[in-house]
Amino acid sequence: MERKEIAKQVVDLIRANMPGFENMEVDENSRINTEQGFDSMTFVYIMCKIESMYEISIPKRKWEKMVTLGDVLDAIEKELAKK
Amino acid sequence: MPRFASFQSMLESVDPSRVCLEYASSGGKSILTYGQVLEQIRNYPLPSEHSVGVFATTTPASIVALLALIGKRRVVLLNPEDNEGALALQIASAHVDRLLGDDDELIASLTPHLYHGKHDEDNDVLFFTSGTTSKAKAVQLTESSLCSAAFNGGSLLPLSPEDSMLCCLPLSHVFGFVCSFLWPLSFGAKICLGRGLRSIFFDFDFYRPTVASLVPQMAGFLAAKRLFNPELKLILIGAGDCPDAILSLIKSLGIRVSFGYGLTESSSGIALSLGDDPRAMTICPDYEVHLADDGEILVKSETTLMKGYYLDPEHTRATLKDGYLHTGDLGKIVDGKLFITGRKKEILVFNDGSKLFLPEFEQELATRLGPESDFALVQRKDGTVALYIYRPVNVESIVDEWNKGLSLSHRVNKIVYAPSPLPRTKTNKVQRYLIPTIE
Repeated sequence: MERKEIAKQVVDLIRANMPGFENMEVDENSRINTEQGFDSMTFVYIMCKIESMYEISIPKRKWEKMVTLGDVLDAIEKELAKK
Repeated sequence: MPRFASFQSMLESVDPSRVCLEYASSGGKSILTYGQVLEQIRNYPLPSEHSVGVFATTTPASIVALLALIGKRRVVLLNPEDNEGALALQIASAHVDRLLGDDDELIASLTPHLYHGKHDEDNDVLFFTSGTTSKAKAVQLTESSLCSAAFNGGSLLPLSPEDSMLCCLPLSHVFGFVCSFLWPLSFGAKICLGRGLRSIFFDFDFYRPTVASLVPQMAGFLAAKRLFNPELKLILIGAGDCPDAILSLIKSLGIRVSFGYGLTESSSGIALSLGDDPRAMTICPDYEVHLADDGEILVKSETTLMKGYYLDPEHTRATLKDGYLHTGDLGKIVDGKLFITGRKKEILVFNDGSKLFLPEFEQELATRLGPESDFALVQRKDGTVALYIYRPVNVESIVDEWNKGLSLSHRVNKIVYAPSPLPRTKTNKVQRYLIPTIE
């Protein structure tokens, strides 16, 4: 699966699950932090949805290294490559 | 309500055929009765080492280890979700000489930090105060102080043996240990063991609990997503304040909300709210509460206060004076009820229950921003962290790197460049109250 396609699916998932994101510009450089409405519970929720959607498990220790949406996409690509 | 001196006597007081622990197993659920848990504790092989670090998770093996070891060894409660650097510091500072847990890889990587010297022969229980700090403080509690904390909370907020508690908070924090585990245990209730962070959104539907202890952020998120089960009748919220909107939302679901106020240093609960106003708290029976001239809450208790900070007499003396614990919180007492009004210490408290000790945290950031840096970390109106900085400028990439490895709650999510040097006292301390409020 191409990164561009994953990015679109992840952005769609965020928009579907996060009220307030429907009309917000989200791209690879968007920072995953509370400025964007991502508190830690929301982040965990989105990550669980991502793992379920792609049937992958991203090690929890990698979660805390993620700063941008691009970092999340890197992790998804890495786990998908292992499948 | 009976007062117990040990976990074993607590367990022995319950009909052995009643369900003690319910946990996920092979896609379904399994149980351990009070009798079975008691038997496992009695047969638990005690390690030869004296200071045992236990990765306190919501698994039957971890629970049994904690119940068996506390009171017989010095037990240091650790959270496997903490980053390895923080864990290494905790293990070294608490003189842990044996690690127990189910993550062999993590244990192997932390083994070099184990202690090999001599110990005092106490059987204390060490909890680390929550939050990221370069100087982790281990709070010395005892089996007896934890049992008394369960008694204090249970006296005001009794449960029934028919209740089932969802135990989904980290047991390495005293609020999780006392309020989601010991409290139901002391009433012979069923304790449903949360399946971990990834499953918190589904655990209410899976276990159908009647009671849960949560931190504000969790409570708000789960309520907003309508993830509570209809059988849930009581939520105890602790470790931080909760916005009114969340309280109203939870109440609209027909669930009673009680607030708990307590510190690690007091083995958890000092006061609980019982009535319609969740911020009007009734003081627990073992406590005397006084307000200092500046409004700081000072508490005294013969049964629950810490012995001190492990190997830190200076901080112990500063916190425990003349038998009173200086909480660092500001409050008022109205009609006998305690209200929390703010913080005195330079500590930020977050809605996920964690804390940041600002001077130490800022010192770490200063090593990245340079010796000439002039800045302060401040809490924004929404509770998140902002960097207020005069120099250097253009620090975005440094802050991005700094944010890596921090929990989302603690990350700097806004940078505001100050027009002039930060206001400071003659001793160079930042005058935080003069920094403008950051939206």
